[in-house]
Amino acid sequence: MQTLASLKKSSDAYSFGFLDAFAKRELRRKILKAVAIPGYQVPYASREMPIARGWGTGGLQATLALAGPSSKVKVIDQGSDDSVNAANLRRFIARMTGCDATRDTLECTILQSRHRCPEERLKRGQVLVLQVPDPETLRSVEPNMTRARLMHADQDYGLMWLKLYEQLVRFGRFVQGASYPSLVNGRYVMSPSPIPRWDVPTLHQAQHLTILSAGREKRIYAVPPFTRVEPLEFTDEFFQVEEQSDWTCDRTGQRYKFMNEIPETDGTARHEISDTGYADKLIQKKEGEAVTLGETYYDDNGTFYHDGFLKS
Amino acid sequence: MRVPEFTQSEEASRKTFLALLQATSLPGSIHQLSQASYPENFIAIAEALIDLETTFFSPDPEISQALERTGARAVDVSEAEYQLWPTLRQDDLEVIKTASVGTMVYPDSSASLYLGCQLEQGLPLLLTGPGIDGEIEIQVAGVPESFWIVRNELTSYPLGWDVFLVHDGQVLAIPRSTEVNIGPRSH
Repeated sequence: MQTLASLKKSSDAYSFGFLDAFAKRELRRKILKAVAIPGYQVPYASREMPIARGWGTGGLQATLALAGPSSKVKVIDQGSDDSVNAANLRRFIARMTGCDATRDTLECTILQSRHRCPEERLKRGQVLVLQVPDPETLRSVEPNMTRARLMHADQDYGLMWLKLYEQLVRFGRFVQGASYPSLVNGRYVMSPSPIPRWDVPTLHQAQHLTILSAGREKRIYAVPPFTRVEPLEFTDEFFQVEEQSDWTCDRTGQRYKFMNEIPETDGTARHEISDTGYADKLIQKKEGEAVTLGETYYDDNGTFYHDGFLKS
Repeated sequence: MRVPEFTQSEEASRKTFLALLQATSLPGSIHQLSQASYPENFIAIAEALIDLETTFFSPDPEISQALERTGARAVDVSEAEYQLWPTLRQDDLEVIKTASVGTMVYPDSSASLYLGCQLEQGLPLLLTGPGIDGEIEIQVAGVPESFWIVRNELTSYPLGWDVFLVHDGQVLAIPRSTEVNIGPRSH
């Protein structure tokens, strides 16, 4: 009798890293271009993957172009290592490249993420791969892709500034939550993918390389280490990260880390640190296990590690 | 669970690519390629990156011949996306000047130049820009000094060449985003 297992192709029948040699070379060429022109969206072919477009195929392809048996890969989805999306991507990457998987930010060589950056600082040599649903930051002000590309070429970001100004006029503050438009190396405005505003400053003058890849939209871009990433702000109205200073994590008792808000039936809310790898380590440490906690981007008083970068 | 085979060529391509990636993201720093001597080092770079979707140029007959099997098209300097120059002479500057710096709409269409040289000796260059913590001083021999003058004249960010300096098994990148000052650090 035929079973599902007997119908399934053996995984060693695939190319190493799932992608064929042409796909890998193309991705590698485009990644090099992306790093050479920080923030510029490089078009790429974006192959079919065994998950649907929009579920992280861009990030997955970038990771597969990088990973090998010597890699340690961590995958998170909204900060969590254990969500279905993250767990499946991690298992797939490990099966196709023979890499080790880890949950420790300090240990990983590649961190693929959907919509979060880790709380612990990434170091030189580590690569953060962000999954991007919509790479074109100008789309909300210019839906025509060809014209948006010309606007990038002309460095014409007037409409972007106008959009932010209108937010100030109508609501008294910037209401853009995720994908906050940021100027890279003083030249291109990019969408940092839908990471919260809390995470945007972590890309500025970082030690690590960030690769942002949009599989459905077929665009890849990057932020090298030691590169200016400046969230758009006015000289008298500053970019602000999320105000969560009176929230305390239910699991660890920590404050001043990015939190998930969990609604309760009585109308109140609990809070938990969104970066589960970091929260788990905090708990292990409390229980006396030998774990290494890395330095975080925001200290225990909520101060960002680059002095004066966040203005108030 | 068996992992797909990590063939020798996969391993070499990945190692070469990671060296180029780290070099590009940290301009001025030296990284190890998969092959340590001419012409295998240049051929390994080509095999990691180019195929029938790309164009190339190399004045070196041995490299050109080896590259034919990649399926990439051999074209003139003015058209070639990937250029492999094991030695760049003063006379070559008039030709290399015609290499593409890309367009404002598609700056990624510019040429990538892989130049043979000797690192850590010769002309001092002071680099600043993305990927560099402050500034970094490097030394390059075997590339005419006027190449850097031409490079600086033609670079108008985001337009410009991505230059990779290859010394045996070592590579150092100077992407277009890097500002190159000829001469040592002034104190």
